[in-house]
Amino acid sequence: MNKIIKLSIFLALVAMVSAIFVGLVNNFTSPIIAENLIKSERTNLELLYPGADFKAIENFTDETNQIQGIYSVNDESYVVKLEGKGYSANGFIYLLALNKDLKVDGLVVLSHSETSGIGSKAFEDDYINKLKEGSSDTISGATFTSSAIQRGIEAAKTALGAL
Amino acid sequence: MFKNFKNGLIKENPVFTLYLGMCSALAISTNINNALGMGVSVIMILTLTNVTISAIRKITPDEIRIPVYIVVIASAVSIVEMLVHAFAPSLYSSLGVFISLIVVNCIILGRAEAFASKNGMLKSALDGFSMGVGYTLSLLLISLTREFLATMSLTLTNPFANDAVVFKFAPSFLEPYKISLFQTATGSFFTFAIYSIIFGILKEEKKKTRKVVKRNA
Repeated sequence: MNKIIKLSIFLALVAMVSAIFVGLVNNFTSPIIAENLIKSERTNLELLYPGADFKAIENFTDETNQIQGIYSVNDESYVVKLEGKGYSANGFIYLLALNKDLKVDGLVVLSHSETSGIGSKAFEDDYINKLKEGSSDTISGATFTSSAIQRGIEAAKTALGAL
Repeated sequence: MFKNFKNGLIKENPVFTLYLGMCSALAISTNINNALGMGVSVIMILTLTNVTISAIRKITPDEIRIPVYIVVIASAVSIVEMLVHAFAPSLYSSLGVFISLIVVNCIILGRAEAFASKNGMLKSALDGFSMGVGYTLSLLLISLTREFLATMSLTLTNPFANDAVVFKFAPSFLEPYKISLFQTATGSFFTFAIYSIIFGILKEEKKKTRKVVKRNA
């Protein structure tokens, strides 16, 4: 009986010392790992929330395959990176900002090949302000692009709601 | 001491003569980047665990030595995995689960039990280092063959510097002759078998010359 106790204590000691070392390295590396996830997007994220604190969210489900990444901003708002299929077959990449009540807080397009003057109207402030008011309207004459954005907003809200 | 180092390279090469650590060797050796990354990780872990286990060998009770080794190895692998994730993220995503699987790589536990538990710290460190280098060289051998035959090119990138290309050898006239079989599991077994034969012949030759010397003496 005594032997078993001594053996268990030794094993527990080895485990404790190892755990301390692993914990130290973890403390040192986890901020670096978190920063790596953000680094590639940081310049784009700052277009919507300059100087804020970003964190990448890894586990989200998106059945519509539009969402490329979700980032939390200052632990309350979110930025969702989406790919929309509008008029052009090449699609367009945009960032959608949502506040903590999941209302649209901003939109910035990163790359697109929509028709300039027509589809590109969906990326202008007029339409973005309407989106901020919660409108689910599309722009007549630019329905492909604007409905792609509406689909993106839907997908973002579903994914964030499920988090 | 140099003998210890030479041991791990050819005579007791862990992959081709001791047949240890084959699973990860075959799975990730599709290109030289992966092979180098995996090899360096194994060298670090092997040396670290050999030294640690040798350091506590006199106070480790014999009955629980295997659990103790496993705890030490698992912690070392966790540490190296976190460092790779932080400083070489592209390597982390291409090696994936195989970094974690180094815990069950027979080389590590095998050397801990066969050598580190019975020898001093410096000798164990050298043994771990040489076994790791032998493992890395075997991986490099397999992956050089596989990458070259499968894509008729060789590319080395630096995972610590955003994948900057260190060198690229891709003669375009060879491109139509590539054999993509070598990127699959079948190809990996072919390559492994051929190199095992070569290493077996090398070992036999060494044994024969020693026998001849003894008879003549």
